[in-house]
Amino acid sequence: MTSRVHLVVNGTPHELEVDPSQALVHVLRDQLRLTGTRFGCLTGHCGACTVRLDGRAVKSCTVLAASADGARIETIEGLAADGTLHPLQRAFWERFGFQCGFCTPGMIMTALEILAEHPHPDEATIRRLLGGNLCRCTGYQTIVEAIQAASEAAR
Amino acid sequence: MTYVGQSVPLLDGEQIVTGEARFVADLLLPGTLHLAVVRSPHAHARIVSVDAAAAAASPGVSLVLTGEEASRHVAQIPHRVDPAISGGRHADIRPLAVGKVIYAGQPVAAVLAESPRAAGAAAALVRAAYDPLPVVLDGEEALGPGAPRVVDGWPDNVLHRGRIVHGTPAAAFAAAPGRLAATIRLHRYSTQPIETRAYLAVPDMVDDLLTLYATTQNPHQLRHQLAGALGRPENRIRVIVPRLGGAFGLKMIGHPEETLVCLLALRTGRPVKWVEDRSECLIITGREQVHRVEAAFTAEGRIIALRDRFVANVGAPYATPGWGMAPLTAATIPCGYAIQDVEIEYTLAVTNKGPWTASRGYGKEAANVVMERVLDLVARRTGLDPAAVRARNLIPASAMPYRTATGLEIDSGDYAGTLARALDAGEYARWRREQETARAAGRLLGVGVACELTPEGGSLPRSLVAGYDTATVRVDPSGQVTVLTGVTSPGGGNETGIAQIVADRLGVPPREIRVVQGDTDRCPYGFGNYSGRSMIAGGGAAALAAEEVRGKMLRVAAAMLGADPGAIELTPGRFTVHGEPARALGFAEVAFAAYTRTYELGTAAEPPLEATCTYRPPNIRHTPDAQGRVNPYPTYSNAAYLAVVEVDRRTGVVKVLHLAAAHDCGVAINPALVDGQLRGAIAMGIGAALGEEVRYAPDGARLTTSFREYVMPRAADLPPVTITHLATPSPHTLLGNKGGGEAGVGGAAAAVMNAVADALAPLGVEVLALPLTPPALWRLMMEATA
Amino acid sequence: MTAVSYTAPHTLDEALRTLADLGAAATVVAGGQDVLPRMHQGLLRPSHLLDISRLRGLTAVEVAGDRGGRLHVGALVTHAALAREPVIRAAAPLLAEAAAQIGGGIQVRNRGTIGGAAAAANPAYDLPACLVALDAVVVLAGPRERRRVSAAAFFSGAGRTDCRADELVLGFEMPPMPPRTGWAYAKLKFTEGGSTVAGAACLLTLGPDGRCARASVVLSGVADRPVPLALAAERLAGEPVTPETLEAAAAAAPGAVEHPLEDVLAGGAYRRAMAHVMAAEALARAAGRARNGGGA
Repeated sequence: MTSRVHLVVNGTPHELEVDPSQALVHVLRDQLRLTGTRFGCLTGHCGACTVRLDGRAVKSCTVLAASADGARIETIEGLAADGTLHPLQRAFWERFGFQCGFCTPGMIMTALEILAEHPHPDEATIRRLLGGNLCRCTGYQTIVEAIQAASEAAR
Repeated sequence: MTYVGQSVPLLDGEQIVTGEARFVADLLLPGTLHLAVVRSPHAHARIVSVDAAAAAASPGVSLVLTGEEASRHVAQIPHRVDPAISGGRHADIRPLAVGKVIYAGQPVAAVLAESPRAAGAAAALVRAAYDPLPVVLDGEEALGPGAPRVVDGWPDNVLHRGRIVHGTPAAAFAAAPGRLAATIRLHRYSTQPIETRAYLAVPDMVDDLLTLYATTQNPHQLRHQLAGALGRPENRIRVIVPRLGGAFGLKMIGHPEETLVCLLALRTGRPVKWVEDRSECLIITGREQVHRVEAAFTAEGRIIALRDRFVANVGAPYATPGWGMAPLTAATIPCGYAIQDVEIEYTLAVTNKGPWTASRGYGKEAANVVMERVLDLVARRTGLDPAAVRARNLIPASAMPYRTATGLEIDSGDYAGTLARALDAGEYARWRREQETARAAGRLLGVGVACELTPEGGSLPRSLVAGYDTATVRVDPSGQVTVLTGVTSPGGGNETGIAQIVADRLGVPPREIRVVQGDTDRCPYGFGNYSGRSMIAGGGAAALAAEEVRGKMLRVAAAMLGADPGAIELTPGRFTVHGEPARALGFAEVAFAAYTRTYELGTAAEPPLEATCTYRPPNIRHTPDAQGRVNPYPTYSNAAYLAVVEVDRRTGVVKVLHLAAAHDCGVAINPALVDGQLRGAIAMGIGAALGEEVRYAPDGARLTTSFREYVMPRAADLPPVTITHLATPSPHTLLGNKGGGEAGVGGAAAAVMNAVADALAPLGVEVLALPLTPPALWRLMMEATA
Repeated sequence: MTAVSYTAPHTLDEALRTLADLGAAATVVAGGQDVLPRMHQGLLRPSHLLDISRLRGLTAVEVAGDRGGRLHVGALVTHAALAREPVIRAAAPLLAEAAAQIGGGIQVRNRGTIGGAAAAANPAYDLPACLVALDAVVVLAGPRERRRVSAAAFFSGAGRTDCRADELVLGFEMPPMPPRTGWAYAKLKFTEGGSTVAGAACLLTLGPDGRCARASVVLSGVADRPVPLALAAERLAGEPVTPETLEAAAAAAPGAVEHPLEDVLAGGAYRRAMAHVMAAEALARAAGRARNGGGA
């Protein structure tokens, strides 16, 4: 049995047949080939699969694709769709906010919500609100600095 | 302007931040079959039977392979470094268990199906019957007379052992005014990159070639290993590493799934893919050691002799080079301290715990933690300041180069200067005053100091763990520069560093240089990444090749301009006759001429504009000296750390308030990348010290199967880290660099451990075991106050 | 591989009919934060997924009648909404405080629901103890009737509740907080992303005389279900609120944890001791807030 779902992903509508027990992350990656959304644990711990669902950051490994029927999904691929890097993308690159880059899309998608809720967050706030994301390369400091830089750029 | 020394942002950063970068799991090929591995729930058991019938009949399944069947098609997996080469035991490693299983999680059967979900569902239907055997989980117990035997046919559970004696330790101990003995326990933990391992094997339809896309640090050696296991010519295998999502040693070669996907792709003629899940990733571990250490010292805190007998619990034998960490722990002791009367005895015990794989630090981190604990114990015994005791024992800069008791040839360094810088950057004096105030108020504030020696660029005798590497630099007729290098990047950005090195020599901006790595068919034979080697060996090779190409272009330009090659200058994008700016040629112009005017220009133009050079760093010595010692490393980085912690007396929770590091890795090619490596390693060291641990039930069953149990630090758990650098260039390496990437794990773990010990000192507690989890510290405090 | 079937009804009747047909064979999923990780780990292999996230009317947060009436919280209210909603912050600030501390990051709080947290009855979850402390009633809908069960009776073990296979959790009702009531949720975790190792939810009401009129302390994370500290409540009732009386109340915690949880993170002795520490912290903070007049 499959479920038919309608998703608007990065502004593009899609009608998809999905296995109803499948997580959103797998549908994004395997069916829509949006492999920028990655997974590192599938238990909701690492945050690499973070996307925005109707404007809110979620871990797409913990969301049934069927459950997202009718939702508006934003992935990392949609952030610079017009060819211009988002200030967060630019800041992560310029401030060395990643090394291997595997966790980066999840970090940036989380950071979008952090900045939406707290336009000018202090360091402690950023660190606390990154509590759902793991990075193993950077020790987080440059990630925090990149998010701060992006918030400054928006000032 | 030179690019070396600048913090150039990562060349491929745009692909990363836009999500366009492709990791192995991101490669989707039509017609791919997916592998699921059936694993043993038992740590030690005879395999009675494996019934694959139900799994084979499951929808979408194309093949189920058991260990017996697999062993008809594959030979042993060759060891990355066979312990037998250096007098240890050889273990027969198969991709799927045959006869018995010796660790929980060991692969028992392979299921191939049309989707990962179909494969996973079918794997659950494989019925394996086991006859459990007694387990041995403790390394020291494994060496006891009645211990269960892990490997059939071995007379005991010893994989390897060794002894290093230098000077006259017995006499020094007998004469010493002070002596202490301690047992220091280091736990089992893992590097756990966020990208798990993944492999995609693709049989070529036209050529008789098998291509493996792999998360591996060593593509060429993986090819060699696969050739041995599969009985296939090495030149009929191609290994490609598209991009690694962190490796930290875990992605060195020898894992059974590498062979499995290749075998299954060859048998089915279809692409076969396997993406490890996190639980599987936590099967493979490392680092657990128990040190029984003794120190002899003077009242002034000068350590005159050291004795260390340690047992490394390497778990089940495995083909990755994980076991090799323990002998290097022995070789690294006594680290950067001038102690020549030394006796070290080490035993690598096999047990029914998960196998070791290489882990960032490669045993050197353990040596540093043990030594730094010993230094603090001496400080406490003598009543001296721990920083002062270190300063008294460090190898003086004037004694460089220095041959250590274990035979290491330390090239250079200012260890006392590094320590002073860390104390200064970390405001040691201020924190000590703060500590007095805190203690008066009943707070458990601790200050910890640690020094760290990180030998880098390692090369193990008679193995494909080499110290040298090779690069090709090519300038196209249009003037575009490509570098093909034998080193790979685990995600640390060495490709950007290599581009900077070449950029300086060819006058081309780094962003215009294409660096190709991780492809055995395109890149020169090389050894990948480990031991902080990529910028030492790979950077050196790229520099040599770029110089050679530059020389060719200078000669071509000279011929074109009718000048002497010695009079030609290469500035960004231009060749100019010295002092005559009007006589100039563009870079692309010269490149085109080198290809098209070779008959005109005669011997000046030697097409193509390409050079392949190998850089073999000196100072490595594989010929044993009179005492049988070798020096596997060309160069030695060092660092010093200051950590400040507060322990919650009620809960045992440790808050790291501050961490400062002073680091000397010689010349930094890209300072921001060096800092990034260090920060990441420090985070790993703090995580290791405070909580990361892989644990087992008494029957050897796995208890740590997700990030819920394997607790890694998050942003809010880490302090801001202050980093300062010294740069004592290596006198040996071509670029003066000493390697960055491993330093920090042992140093930060030691500094935090010492700080916690210092915090708890007023309670009369001694801290001798990692990890310092809240329950462990709480128990120590309870016992002290009981 | 058995195919998984899926329904996402919009009405309660449809959902209840599905449950009546399938009973225990149906796995109810709301935000997915508990169910999906267990599915990925192979701990849960559902044959039918009943997605209740589209049910209408289960996201309501309202106070009955005028101010001071009973608070109703729908099962599908997310942790993020609990932390943010002014109505919750005013009427049940304990829930808001605990919800803001739920681990896993903003992503988990955006998606996880109070109904899911209660139905999952994972001992490491934070909200069950708060519901018990708040004297909440769990509203359940079954094929024939709706019933109300006190939160204290609802949680019956790790992953076990009083919710029958053919019932759904609709929401929660809580009595109004009396004036001069302070609240606190104290929580011990080992990292920012870590599970709750021990926690304590506390409500403390001062009488007009400044003495403790009523106290409620419930532990989380230390046993297979929330542990109410009856003895603590007893010790405080009618007493002046001093560090000594608060400590005497908190000291009831270890003894109340008869069968402490033991896992990789912590052993039983530690959890018992931390129950005391968390109870003390929650009591102290709740008392402070009560003295400041309580309320949000």
